[in-house]
Order: sequence, then C-alpha cells, then structure tokens
Amino acid sequence: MVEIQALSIEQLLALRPLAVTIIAVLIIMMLALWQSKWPSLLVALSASAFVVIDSLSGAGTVSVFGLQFDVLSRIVSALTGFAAFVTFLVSFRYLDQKKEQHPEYQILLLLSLAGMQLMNAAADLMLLFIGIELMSLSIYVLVAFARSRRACCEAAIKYFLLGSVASAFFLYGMSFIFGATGSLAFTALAKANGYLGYLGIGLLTVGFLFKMGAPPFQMWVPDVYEGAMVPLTGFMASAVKAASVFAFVRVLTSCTMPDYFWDLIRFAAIAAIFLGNAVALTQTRLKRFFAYSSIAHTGYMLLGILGGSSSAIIVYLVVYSVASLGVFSILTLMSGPDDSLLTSLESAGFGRRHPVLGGLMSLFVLSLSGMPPLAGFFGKYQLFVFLQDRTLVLFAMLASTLGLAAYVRLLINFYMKEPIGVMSRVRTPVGAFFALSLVLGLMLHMSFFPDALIRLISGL
Amino acid sequence: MASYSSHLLSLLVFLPAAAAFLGLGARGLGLLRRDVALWYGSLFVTVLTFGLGMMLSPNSEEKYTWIPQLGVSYALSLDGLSVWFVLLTLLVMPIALFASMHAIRDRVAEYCFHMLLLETAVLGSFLAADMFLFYVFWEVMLVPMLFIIGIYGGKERLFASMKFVLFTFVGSACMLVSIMVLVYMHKLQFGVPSSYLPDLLRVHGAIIPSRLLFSAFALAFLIKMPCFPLHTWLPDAHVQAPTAGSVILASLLLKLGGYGLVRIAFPLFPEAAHFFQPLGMALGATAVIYGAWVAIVQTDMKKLVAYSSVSHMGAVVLGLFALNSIAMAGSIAQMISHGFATGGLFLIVGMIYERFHTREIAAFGGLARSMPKMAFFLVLMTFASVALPGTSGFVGEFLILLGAWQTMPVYAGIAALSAIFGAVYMLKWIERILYGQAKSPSLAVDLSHREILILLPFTLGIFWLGLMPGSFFHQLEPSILKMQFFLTTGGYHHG
Repeated sequence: MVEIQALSIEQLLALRPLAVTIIAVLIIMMLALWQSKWPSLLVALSASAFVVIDSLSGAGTVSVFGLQFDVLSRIVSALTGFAAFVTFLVSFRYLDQKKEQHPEYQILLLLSLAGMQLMNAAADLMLLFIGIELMSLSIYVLVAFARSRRACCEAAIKYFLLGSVASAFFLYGMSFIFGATGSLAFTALAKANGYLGYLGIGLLTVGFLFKMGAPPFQMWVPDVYEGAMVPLTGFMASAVKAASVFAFVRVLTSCTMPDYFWDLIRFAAIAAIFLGNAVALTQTRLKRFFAYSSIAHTGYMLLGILGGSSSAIIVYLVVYSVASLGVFSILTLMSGPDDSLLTSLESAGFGRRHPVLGGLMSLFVLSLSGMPPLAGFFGKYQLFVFLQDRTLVLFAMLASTLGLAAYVRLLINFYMKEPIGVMSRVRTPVGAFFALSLVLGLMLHMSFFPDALIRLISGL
Repeated sequence: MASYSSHLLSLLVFLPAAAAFLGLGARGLGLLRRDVALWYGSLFVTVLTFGLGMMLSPNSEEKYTWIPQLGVSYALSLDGLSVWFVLLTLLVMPIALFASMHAIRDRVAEYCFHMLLLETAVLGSFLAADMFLFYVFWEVMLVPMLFIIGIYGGKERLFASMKFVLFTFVGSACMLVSIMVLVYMHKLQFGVPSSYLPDLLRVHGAIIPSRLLFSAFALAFLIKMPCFPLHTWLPDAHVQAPTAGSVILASLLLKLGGYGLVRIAFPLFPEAAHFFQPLGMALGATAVIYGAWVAIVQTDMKKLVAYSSVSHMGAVVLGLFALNSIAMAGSIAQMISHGFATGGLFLIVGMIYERFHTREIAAFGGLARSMPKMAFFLVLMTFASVALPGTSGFVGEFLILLGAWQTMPVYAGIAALSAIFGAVYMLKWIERILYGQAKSPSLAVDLSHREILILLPFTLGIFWLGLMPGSFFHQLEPSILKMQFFLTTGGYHHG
C-alpha cells in the first residue's frame, strides 16, 4: 500500500513529465473555448516534446507514490512522447481534410500519453491498472473519433467490448494476487508462487497479451487498425504497443514463474510470428497488412521476453516503433480525403509517382522486415544473439522469410506494378515534413550508430 | 596522404554508394540530358573505383570498433584471395553499366542507383572481415538485385525476383543463426562477444554443433553459388534479368558462394569440412553432370548459359571440397575464369537479343557469315567455357580435376566427363547459330565498336589467366597455404 510520507524535491521533480502532460490537457480544454486550432496544437506539441526531452535527461532511479522512474521506464516514456509528437504533427492536416479537427483529439491523445507514462513507471498493480485504463479508454474514444464513418464506430465498439473483457481478466488476476500475497506492489509478485498466485499472474498475462495484440488474443488488431484513422493507427502500432509490452516486461521480471508458463509464452510468440507473417502475405489492404505485421513483431518481442534481457526488448521496441511511425506517417500523407490509396491495387506504382515518399516508405518497410543495414536488423540481431534456445531462433529467422516475402510483395507493388488511374499529387505539409525527417534521422542514426542507443539504455 | 591510403578500402567500398545517393538527387536537368549525365557519371564512378582498386596494396586492413557491446567491429581486409574477387568486381561493374546504356531507356536514375549500390554491397562482402559486417553487405545485395530483375527484367520478372530473394534469404537466415551462435560461443570462452573473423577462428567447438553450424553456412553459400539441388532459382533469375543483371549475377554474385566457403566456412570448421567432404564432392560432381545434361536440351540461349553456370559451379564445389591446395587454387581460378567467360557469353547473348528480339536457338543460323566479329568473340568465350588449353577455363578445370583425383578419384572421373558434355552443348549451340542456313539476315548487323570495347576486357582476361597464370597463383599462394594449415591442423586451437 502507498504510504503518505514527506516528499523530497527530487521525487516531485520526477513527476514533471506526467504533470506537464496533465496540465497541457487542462490548457487545451480551456483553449477549446476560442475554437482556434493552432494554439492547442502548439500546447500539445510542446507538452509531448517536453516529455521526450525531460525523460531523456533524467538519471538514476526515483520512487514516488508507487511509481518507479528508472532508465528503462524513462526511455519508453520518451518513445511514447515521441510517437505522440509525430502523430500530432502528421495528423493535423489529415484532421482538417476529414473535417474532424476538434481539440478533443489532442486532449485524448495526451491523456493516453499520461496513461502510458503511469504504466511505464508503475511499481504497483493498481497504478498499472489505472495507467492501462487511462490509455485504453482514451484510445477507444479516439478510434471512434470520426464518428460519421461506420468503420470507425464498428472498430471502436469491437475494441471497447473486447478490451473491457481483457481489463476484467486483468482485475480478476489482481484479486488473486492480492489474495495470495496481501499486496499489489511489484515487489510482492515474487511471493505469488503458489497456484493462487500463478493463476493471478496467468490472468494478468491474458490481459497483457490482449493489449499487445498477441495470439491467441490478436483478433481485434486487424479490424481496429483498419477502422481507426490512419495517424491513430500509427500511434497504436508504436506507442500503445511499446507501453503494453514494456509494462508486461516489468511485471514478468518481478515474478518467478514455473516452466510451463514460459512454454505458454513461447507458444504465443511462435504463433504470433508465424500467423502475423503468413497472413500478412495475403493482405490486399495496407492497414490490415501492417496490422498483421505488427502481430508478427509482437511475437519477436515475446521472444525477447523469453531471452530475459529487458534492454534488448527496449531496443527492439524503439527500432520497431520508429519504423512503424514512419510507415503510418507516409500512409497518412498518401491517404486521400476519403482514405483511398490504401489498398494494394490503388497504391500500385506509388514509388514511381512519389519518388521521395516512396523511397522513405521502402526504407521503413525494409527496416521492419529486418533488412540490414537498417535499424530493424540490428534490433533482431541483438534480440536473438544471446537467446539460448537456438531452435527457436532458427524458427523465428525462417518465419521471417515469410515476413520478408510479404514486405517484398509490398515493394514490388510500389515499384514494379503499373499505376492505375491518376494518382493525386501528395503535398507534404511543413509539419509532417519535419516529423518525417525526425523519424528518418532517428532511424538512420540507430542503423549506423546502434551503440548509442545501447549506451543510453544501459544508463551510461 | 597517409590517412587517405589507410582508408582506401572504405573509400573503395563506399564511393559507389555515395555516388548512388548523389545520383538520386539529380533532378532539374532535362530528362534526356539527365539520363546522359547519370550514365556517364555512374560509369565514371565505376572506372574511378577501378583505378583506385589498382592502387590497392594486397595486404591491407582497416578495423574500428562499431558496436562494442555486441563485439561488432567494422573491419575490412584485403589479401591474396580477396584481391582477385575485388578486381573482378571492379572490372565487371563498368562493363555492365556500359553494356546496359542502350538497353535501358526507362527509369535510368533508379537503374544507376541500384547498380552502384550493388557494387558497394558486393565489394563489401568480399572485403568484410567481421561476420556481422559481412552479413550486412551480403543481405544488402538482395535489394538492388531484386529491383534490377523486378523492374528491368522480362515477362516473368516479378516471380523470378521474388524467388531469387526468398531462396537466398532462407540460406542467409540459417547463416545468421550460425553467426549468432559463434558470437555467443566466443563470449562464453573469452568473456566478451566478438564477431571479428580472426577472433572467431579461435573459438573451440564441440564436434556436433560445429557440424551443424557448418551446414548452416554451407547452405547459405551453396544456395548462392548455386549448387545442385539448390540451383532452381538461377535459371529463372538469369532468363528474366536484363543483360547486365545476368552478367553481374553470373560473374559476381555466384562467386560469393565459393568465396564464402573458402574464406569463412572451411577455416571456421575444418573438422566439419572433412566430415562433409564426400557429400560436398558428390554434390559437386552431380551438379557438373546435371548442369551439362540439362544445358544440352535447352532451346533458349540464356537458359543454356545459365545451366552451363550450374555445371561450372559444380566443378568449383568439387574442387573446394577436395580440400587440398591444388584443387582449391583450381576452384578459385575457375571462379575468376567463369566470371570472364560466362559474363562474356551473357553479354553476347544480350547483344544478339537486342538485334533479333529472340533467344530461341532455332531462330538463328549462319551468323558467322553476317556477323564475323560476333562469331569470333562467341567462339572464344565458348572455348574458355569448355576449358580449351590456352584459355582461362583450362587452368581452373585441370587443377580441379588434378586435385580432386588425389582425394576421391571416382568423383574426379565423373566430373571429367563434363569435358565431353560441355563440348557437346556448347559446340552444338554455336554450330547451330553460327553456321548453316542464314535466318532473318536483315537483322544480322555485326558488332559495333562500342560492343567490341565491352567484350575486350573479358577477352584479355581469358588470355591473361589462360596463358600467364603465374602472377595469379603467386598472389593466391599465401592464402591457400594458410587455408591448408587450417584444414590439416584443424585450426589454431588444435595446432
């Protein structure tokens, strides 16, 4: 239980990013009175930029109110903040086009960012649950944001119903853990080693697998990714996934589980990699394609969890999220006013019509496929290099052949198929251009100087 | 100048890539002028790299730490073995670019980009002395080749490019796992991870894992070579690729398989190499005969040359797995010779195709009369291909058979039959198209000066290696002896 005690300045300051996010939400709420879109964008941007910079400049481990800020949690916070920053920039004109430019968009996105920060830092299951719910509820509403479109509402209802069941599992699991140990702090998880405790952690795992979109609870991913607005899908594929995976890692590293539990995780990982890659191969809609590819990547992250190195998983998360952000930023730019151009037929010849965007897209896609020298390869390499189970690695590598086939199919579609009809000119707004350059620069930096990221994570 | 010459290897590797990205930015000029600028710019860069290559000193190395946490270093090294493959690459690339100037009219900027990127990747693979770096270059090669086949190829180009990528990738995936295990074993035995090849050579391995690891490497390299029965991607890729793509594929990419075996797989796992020797030699001998037989019945000229490649590469596998210095030197000579002769054959087939727009052997006849210059070069390349004494092919094949005979006479005997079959398919082919009744004579225009210029370097190469192989083997000798040391003593840790 959280005890009230005197707070040091250091502890208070550790809460800065969270506080700034919440204050930004309040400011945007008030700005909404004037119905002017620019100020709220500026506030949202500065808040998320602050989260990134402040998280990266923090050092050491600080505990406050059942939250524990350490190097890893700060990096994931910075990553989610970066994802929010890019999403704000990229979605601005998109929302204008869709006539959905409302301050609630920024408010909800910032709220989910606050939820993620809670999740990343939580050292207590109750706070973790609050974080997850804050994130999820904001995302449910955001998925339904374009409420005039059927697909959006359908996706939101699916996501909400299934998500609530997952939350119920999570809460039920917490109750078992509380029953077994009498505490909800992560430190107590190690004591949850009776059947009651295992049951509790197993139920928590169900909730996490759902949030991450890993088999056997991945069914919602393609539908929700397909229905949600494109920039939001990018946010879900990067930030939401990163925060969920990292929270799962934090829980698992605090508890001691029997072997059969790890067998289950192994099963989920293999299923995710195989299913994600194989089904992605058959997709004709780009958003569904990336939904399945994200399921496959969840599988690689689960393999990383089996490997037991948190820093390797974080590197993979960062590398994967950055590439996903790039992909979805470009998808946002290329989706016309009616979200067209997002099927393989309509996007044929994309790389020829738009050499720059197409070239960037291929870079991000190749990074996702794990093609060296791009960062994605490095992420995979360092995830696998110290993983003991070599047959598992071999399987994962062979399954990624399927994945490569899927990504290559995409490139073939972009460069080797003749364009059908007239493809509208894509004008890249300054903000989106800036965001894309940031994402690209980050990816290239991680590709050629991967040691910098590792050094950052090991806290040197 | 000291710093300049000490970075010569990096300069060599990355100059084409830098030019490739520079070329992508070339906009604004008129379309036609831009294409001309791109062609001559790329050509200039490849010739410049060739000039730089001439200044290389045969034993140079560059090494920097890249990712210290994982023991990855950026290490390039050049020795008597890699120098020949590097020079071959430097020679083939300008020829390939020059040869495609007339054939490629559309999307020139992308073409030059991919060709230059490919040169960087191939050079990097031949020079890398760190397994991580090697794998990076090895994989990067796939992407430009995918685009070259997929954009500029024939009717079935999408299928062929996909097949090429997937076949190669399955092999590389196994190889990557093997590399990871080696890095991990180095960490277990020496406390720090390392993927630097000379470091890995010191890793002790138990027999069974080292055999498994060897098979993973061998799989990757034998797919790339390609060795029967893993060769099925090659005819598709060759037939669909544009002329320059076929030349690069045959002259350079296939060589990486053989080079990888000699440079990486054999020294790392000498015991496993001996264990798999019978299998390797059997596969090689089978491939020699199989490739030749299949080539006999081909009706498409490019397919015929492609299957002749399978046969020649079979001989290389046979020679390498003989595991003695004679056969190994022969295999390396055979690879270089194959680079000249088969590259030349693909160029000539491309030139014929540009005139007649068909590659069906039955559609030709009597070309010797209307195209005497072409006939001269074709006969010459064919002779080199069937290993006529005095040409480069003879040197390689003779040494391979000689060395293989010392280890396993049976396979050497079988492979020696290929001299007959090779003569059958090659001579039958040129007899049919060069002599007899002339068909569609109006299209038969003899080679231009430009085309002769394209073929000349390969011709000189064939005679140089065929008549004066001394300098070649002189350079090669130390590397072969070092290899012999590894194979007989079982590496550092047993010696």
